Amino acid sequence: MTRKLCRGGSSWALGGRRSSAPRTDPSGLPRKWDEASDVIIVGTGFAGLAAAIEARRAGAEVLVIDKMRTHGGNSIINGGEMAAPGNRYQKEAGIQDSAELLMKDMLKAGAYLNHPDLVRICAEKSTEVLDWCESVAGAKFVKLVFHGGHSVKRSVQTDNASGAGLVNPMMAKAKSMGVKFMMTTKMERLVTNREGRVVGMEVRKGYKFPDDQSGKVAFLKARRAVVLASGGFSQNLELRQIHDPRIDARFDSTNHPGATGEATLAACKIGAMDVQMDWIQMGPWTSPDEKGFGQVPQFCERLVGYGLMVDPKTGKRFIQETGNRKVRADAMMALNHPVIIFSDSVNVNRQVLPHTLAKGMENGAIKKFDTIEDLAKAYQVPLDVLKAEIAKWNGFVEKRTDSDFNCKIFPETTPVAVAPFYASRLWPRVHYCMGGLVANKDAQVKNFDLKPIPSLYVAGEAMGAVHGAVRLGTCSMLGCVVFGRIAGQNAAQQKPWG
Amino acid sequence: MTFHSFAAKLLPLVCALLIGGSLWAAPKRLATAKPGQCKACHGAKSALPKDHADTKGLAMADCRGCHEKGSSTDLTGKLPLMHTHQLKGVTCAQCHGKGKPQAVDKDKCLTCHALKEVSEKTAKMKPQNPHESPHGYQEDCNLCHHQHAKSENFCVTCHAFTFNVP
Repeated sequence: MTRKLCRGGSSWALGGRRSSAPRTDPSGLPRKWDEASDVIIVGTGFAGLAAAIEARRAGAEVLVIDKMRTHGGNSIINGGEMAAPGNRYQKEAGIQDSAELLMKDMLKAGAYLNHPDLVRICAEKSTEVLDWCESVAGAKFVKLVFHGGHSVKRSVQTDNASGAGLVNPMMAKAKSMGVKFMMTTKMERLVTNREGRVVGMEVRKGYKFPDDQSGKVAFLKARRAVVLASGGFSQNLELRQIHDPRIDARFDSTNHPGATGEATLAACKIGAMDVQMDWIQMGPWTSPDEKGFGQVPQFCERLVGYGLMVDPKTGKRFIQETGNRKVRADAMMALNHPVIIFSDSVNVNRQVLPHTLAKGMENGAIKKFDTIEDLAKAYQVPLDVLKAEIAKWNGFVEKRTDSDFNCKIFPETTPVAVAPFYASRLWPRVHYCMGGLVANKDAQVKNFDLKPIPSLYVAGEAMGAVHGAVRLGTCSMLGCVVFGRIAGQNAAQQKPWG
Repeated sequence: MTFHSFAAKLLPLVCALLIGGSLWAAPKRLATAKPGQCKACHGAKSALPKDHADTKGLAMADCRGCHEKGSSTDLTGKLPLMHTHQLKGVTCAQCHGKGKPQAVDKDKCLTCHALKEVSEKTAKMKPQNPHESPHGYQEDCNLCHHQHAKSENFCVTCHAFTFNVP
């Protein structure tokens, strides 16, 4: 009861103090705006900051809000890798690549559910975007990396192997250009006028995640437009289960805790359409024995094709180890318990970075065993079945063909035979939401009349249907910057309403 | 009068009582209190254990006579940092200036604690130097180090780093 009273309707917001008159008129428009800016951007990740810089470059006054204490969202904790066909490192290595080939790869991985016009823009702008990240934003990309599902080695990585290597230079650039930032400010509601144009938003300033009642209500006027660069909803258990009921509390997420998607829902409340919300990517390479992203993904991904993935209950292999993220995660979810991946010292030492191995063993997520017997005992695997399965795998390695699951066996793969053996448990984590708001190629959000909502733009993970069924690694960073820039440029061009 | 409107009238009173009650219970932040004079802020009910030595006139170096760094009685992470500041002679006004105290930003911290020096001090911490975060979180001291509340280990949001944050 008290809770209900404290909450107040949005049109009767108490704003943390006693108020005699309602702060909004019956249509929901505030009687007074607390602050105003030409463009207001929600989110401080790759997409939000790219939008901020571009809108400011186009001459607009820009305000960026974020509900969290720290800027950068998931972007600042990611691996800092971006697909960029035709980049200088590829040229040095003599690798042939093109925007067309990237587009093909993205569509194939996405099971052709991606909206092709959005994919085309991503691919075609990729060269320009890498140049922009370096020359305008001031980031440094220092090496070429390969990710599963891409036809060629084409992704570049930042100098500190983190998305922070792009987020922080962009943040500094935006600040130097006069972009204003308001952290711990959460968007509660988009405000529209009679014509349905987005004219601003209701926020809570001084918001303390995740307390919905914290902070003071304020109204921010957006003279030209609002850009939603607010990310996905991997950490919102209730919302993700609405779209994919399998992804319940058994599954942790690699995302920062604030990836809860309220801004997407706020857009839906004013008539925005969402798409493919049930395509939620599970990372099949995380371990239940460490927190967050951890070390095991780099252990697991370097070992597929060089070792076995086994269901500890049966002692048998159960899936093509080199299959895509979705194939593997679905198989683990069907088993309903963690599985193990392991190989011998020859394969592990060749494939896994010493740093990864050391850190993973230090935190206990990667374990070393002198014998297969010890390994079987530790994970309670039926020993005889496991030994037979290893012998079978070694036979496949000799023949270079896996007739059970068609796992890719590489030229360097050797039989699993030389002690010690290294193993890790695997259990998927929620990693990325491919679904989000429906957008056109100008980053305008569409409504249920299939028309753009005036003055509302979207970019980054909040934009749906760029990646379809399965997002390819390193394409998120690309999509975020591409559509962030487009959204920022177009938002700045809107005519001010007042 | 409906129940709703009655409850709405009662609400400010309930809130006032709740807020008043919690303020009364919280230690005062008395700018005139001498370091070591616990009672000035904490009241008669001392924050210290019953048989603790008298702290009047003590400085941080004296505290460390018993509470040696690295020992089981180490105070790291147990005292909100403003106590350490006060006991080392850094007064409220040195950070907040005169007048009604306002929250200060990290630039104030940097006037005494250069990031490079702080990072060098923690260079050997395992499994990671907390002041060399690839995410750049060391730029905001207040993410972990709080003056008027218990400090926190922000890294544990995603990592299992067991840092004892002063």
